[in-house]
Amino acid sequence: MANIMDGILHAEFSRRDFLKGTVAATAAVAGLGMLPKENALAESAAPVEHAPIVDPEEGGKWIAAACWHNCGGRCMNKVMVKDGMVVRQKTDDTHPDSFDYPQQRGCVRGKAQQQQCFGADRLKYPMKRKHWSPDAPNGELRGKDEWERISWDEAIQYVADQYKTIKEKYGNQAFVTGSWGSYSENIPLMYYGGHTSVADSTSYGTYLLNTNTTIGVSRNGFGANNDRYDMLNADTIVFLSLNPAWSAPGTPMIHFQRAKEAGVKFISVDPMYSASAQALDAEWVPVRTGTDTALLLGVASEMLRLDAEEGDIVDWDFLKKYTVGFDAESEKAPNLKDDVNFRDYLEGKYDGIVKDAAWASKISGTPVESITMLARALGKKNNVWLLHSFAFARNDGAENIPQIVMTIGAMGGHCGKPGNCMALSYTHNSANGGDPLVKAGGRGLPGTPDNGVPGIIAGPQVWDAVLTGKYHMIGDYYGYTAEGLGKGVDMECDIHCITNVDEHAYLASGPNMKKGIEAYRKVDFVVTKAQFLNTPAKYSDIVLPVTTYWELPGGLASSNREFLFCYSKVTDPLFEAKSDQEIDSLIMEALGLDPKQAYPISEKQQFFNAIKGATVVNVETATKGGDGAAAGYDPYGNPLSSSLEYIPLVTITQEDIDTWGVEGEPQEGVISLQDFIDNGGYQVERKPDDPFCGHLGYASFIQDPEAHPLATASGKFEITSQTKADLFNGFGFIDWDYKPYPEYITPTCGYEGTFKDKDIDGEKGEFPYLLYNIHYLRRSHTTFNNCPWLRETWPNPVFLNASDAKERGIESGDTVLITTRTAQALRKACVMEGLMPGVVAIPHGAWENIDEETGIDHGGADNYLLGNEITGSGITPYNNINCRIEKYDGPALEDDCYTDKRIIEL
Amino acid sequence: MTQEKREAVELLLANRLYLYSLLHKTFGREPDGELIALLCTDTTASAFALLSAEKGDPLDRIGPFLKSVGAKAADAGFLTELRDEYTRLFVGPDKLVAPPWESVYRGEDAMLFQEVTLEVREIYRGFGLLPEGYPHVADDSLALELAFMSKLAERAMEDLHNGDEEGLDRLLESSGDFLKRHLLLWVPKFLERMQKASTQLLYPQLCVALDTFLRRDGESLKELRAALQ
Repeated sequence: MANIMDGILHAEFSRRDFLKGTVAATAAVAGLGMLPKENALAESAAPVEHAPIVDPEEGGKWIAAACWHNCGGRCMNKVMVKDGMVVRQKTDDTHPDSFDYPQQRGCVRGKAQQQQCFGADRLKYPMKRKHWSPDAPNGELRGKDEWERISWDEAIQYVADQYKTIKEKYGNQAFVTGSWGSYSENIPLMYYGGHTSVADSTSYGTYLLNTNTTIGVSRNGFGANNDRYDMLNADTIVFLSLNPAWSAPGTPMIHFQRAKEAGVKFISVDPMYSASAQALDAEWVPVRTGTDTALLLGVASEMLRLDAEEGDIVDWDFLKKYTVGFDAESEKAPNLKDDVNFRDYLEGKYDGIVKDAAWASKISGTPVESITMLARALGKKNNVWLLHSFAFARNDGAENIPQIVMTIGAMGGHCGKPGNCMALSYTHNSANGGDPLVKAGGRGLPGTPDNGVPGIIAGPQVWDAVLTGKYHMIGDYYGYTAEGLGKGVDMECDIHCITNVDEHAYLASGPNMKKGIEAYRKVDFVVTKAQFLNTPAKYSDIVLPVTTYWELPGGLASSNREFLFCYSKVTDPLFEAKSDQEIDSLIMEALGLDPKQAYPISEKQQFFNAIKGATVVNVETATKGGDGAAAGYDPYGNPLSSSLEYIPLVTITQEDIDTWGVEGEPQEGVISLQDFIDNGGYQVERKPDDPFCGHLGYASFIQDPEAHPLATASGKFEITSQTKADLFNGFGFIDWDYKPYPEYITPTCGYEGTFKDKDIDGEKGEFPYLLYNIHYLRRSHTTFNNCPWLRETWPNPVFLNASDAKERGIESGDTVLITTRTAQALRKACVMEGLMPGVVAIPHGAWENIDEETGIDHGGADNYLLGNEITGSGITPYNNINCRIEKYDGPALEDDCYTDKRIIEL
Repeated sequence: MTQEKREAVELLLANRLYLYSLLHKTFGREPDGELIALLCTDTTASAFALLSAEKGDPLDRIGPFLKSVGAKAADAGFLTELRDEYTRLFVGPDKLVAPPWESVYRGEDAMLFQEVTLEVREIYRGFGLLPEGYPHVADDSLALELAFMSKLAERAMEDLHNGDEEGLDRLLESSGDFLKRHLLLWVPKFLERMQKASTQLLYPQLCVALDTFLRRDGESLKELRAALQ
């Protein structure tokens, strides 16, 4: 290699002239305008001597760090922070791990949280889509356009100006905010007159259909589950579409493991031999996705047959005392119009079809022997925890799932007594029901004002409504409106603006994404707050970088009944990100509104208020078994305990208040403020004989049904419910005459849809497979999809049954083209025996990566494949879509963690 | 030292200062006509060529390439395309094909604010420097590391003019260390990823030259220190 100095010494040019030119050019460079803050170095104070970093932990401090996603867990995450940077991460080690006092350990996603906060792909600055302007939106370029960096002032001005213009021209109905239940979301718009809302059945599915007042079943089911210690009194635990190992993070699996070690038998009814079933050595009862109603009708028939032939299966006393409408002898709901009952339906008196095990097997694919086994296991002599998630209620034709589950539980008498419950087992409350033993206080913010716009669109219709201006409204699944759900009415709208400004990515997490993109491209303005260019942000005009929870002062998160998580600030807002409160306040100011209406206090004061108001159960005054004596029911129909007394949790001194710089009075609690912060919250240590073990779901009703009736017309569980039939028949989405008993509902698509003319005795049709989405540890819904660790560990394949794959010539690793009536996507095959034949599964929540030419999604987004299929109750049928699969003849798909390369020409 | 040699030393120091400050500004802000005009001069071409090891190497070829860019820069449409390329490669909001931060390449995962960021911050502090956006920004970005090299080059020029030989040697040593322990460890990998850029109007090519320039500057620092002994 040439020596540089020699080269200069022997050069032909004049060194003097060269130097002159260089110096002049350097001065010109220095004279160029200012650099943005992130790229300029400033002379600070005097130089600080530094030695190379030998021990990265030196000077570091452990901080409890938020893990806030909608995975259902609220687990302990701790990070070691040094000068604003995370150098180490761990989970709960505040005490030794035991069954009585389990550590609140996080999962792989919690560990990847640092990749979410510090990912190189974080949104750093407010951005504007290049060819969008107020006068010429060029909406068709959304998702394909270039971007421009803009200042916060410009960004806020654009948003406020658009809000003003659109409101003036088209009224508040022209705004739509997407989310599972957006009726009170988008704070600035709520104070600016409201917006059209979305109500999607999302997680809860048909359990949102007023189950508490129609059939007597809790709508979110949390209180119906017995306390975790009671699991040891059970002989059998039945999982109905429940996979806690993947879907209920935190402690639930530990409790189930303990039961397994104690000899409790597990049965798992699921399209897949799940990770939980494997871990708990459960007997697998395979079922085609979306056909659980048929299966459970078969189980009910089989219980009656076994009871008649062998005896001691059906708990007739329970049915008599606590239910109405089981058979012709039973008490009837007081409002029942026709003299019908469940057993007559089952035996074919009304339609000539006997719903026996063979009938059920034909639809559900479940072997008859498995149906018999399940029926016997549910017999009254057996102590059974009958647990379910919501997955089987998120189906086309699933309207009667809550009623049929309650019916088979009641037939075995599995309710309100030790070792027995029929309950939802979901999120951090999975496996562990009952009132919380430690609770967060309120943050001290006012409730949002009433939404001035009455329109609420059901999830599957939102994007069609934007495109056509028409939809059919049945109300709000989540009870934000006084009216709740009711009779359907035809509505009109004229949407001009889509906002994604709360913690949702509804374009990706809701149905009908393909139509959604069309809708996005149609409107005048789309604004999104985001941490990454996720799907809604990608199709927006203005994206606003919002902080993660790691950049906020802190907060409390309620976990399972024993644990309250307290997280603190990890780092300052990254780059130009601002908190939700800051962004909302700026928009409100620009709209001429006073942000103090919505946010009268600082985020720090809110954190302090939540801590100050936190309470813990008074162990001294709690009486054994008293926890089970519920005084009534919350709005969701959960039993409320009367006997628990709560006392302040955290001791706060005047010095604490001064140090924090907040308002408040000192108080006595059971843990000092500093310890509470350092520990990362508070956990109530349990004992096998403590007073809280006595919590049994529905206990007060079971103890005294007269004094503590359910919220139904009869005050009992309604196996035949006129209220239910009337509610369903009022919706008016499909042409179906709903019966008061839990009848089998032929789905619009579903299993029948996989056949020609929906004839299950005939030939298979154009879309012969059933597609459902599993919740997978790569993500929490759509969050975390971009984290490198998770992309590598959980590659997000399409799961195929081995015989189906063989028939199509597909092997593991092959690229598969999945086609639904709506769209197409590519995924790599994962071929397995532990999936029902005829069923295809793809993980939920992937971000789309659509080839604009072919329309094929290379990202594997489940909701791109799902269309506007609507069920009789308006719930979104996420889990029984029809599809076909084939080996893809185009270029093989790369693993998500790799991409291709090109060469730079210089 | 001979007068000739002294002139060569001064020229080389001035050349480094020019290129580092130019590269800092070029990677540190959106392009505009003024910046592109400065970037695409004969002076820049000669400055790069001065360090060229052999005919046809990137430092030899970058000059003519920049001239061709400069010739198009009068066209407002081309300038807009350059701005789009800059935004796509260095700003976002889409995933950057080659995120311009050292931590991304020093670890296995595309993450910011890592241990190496802290190391770099400590080195800046050692010279009384900190990013203007501290603590909200990652200290180990390409622009900031080039800014740091440019600051040291500026101080080296001052020491030369003030006759502070010890100070000058320390600065050259620190510059060489920073190259060896930081920029040279990651810029080659950054360049490799830059191959995936969807357009190649200016920045991907400039990265090729940057990569070679940094290696050659490491050489020249050694030679400079030897010459000053």
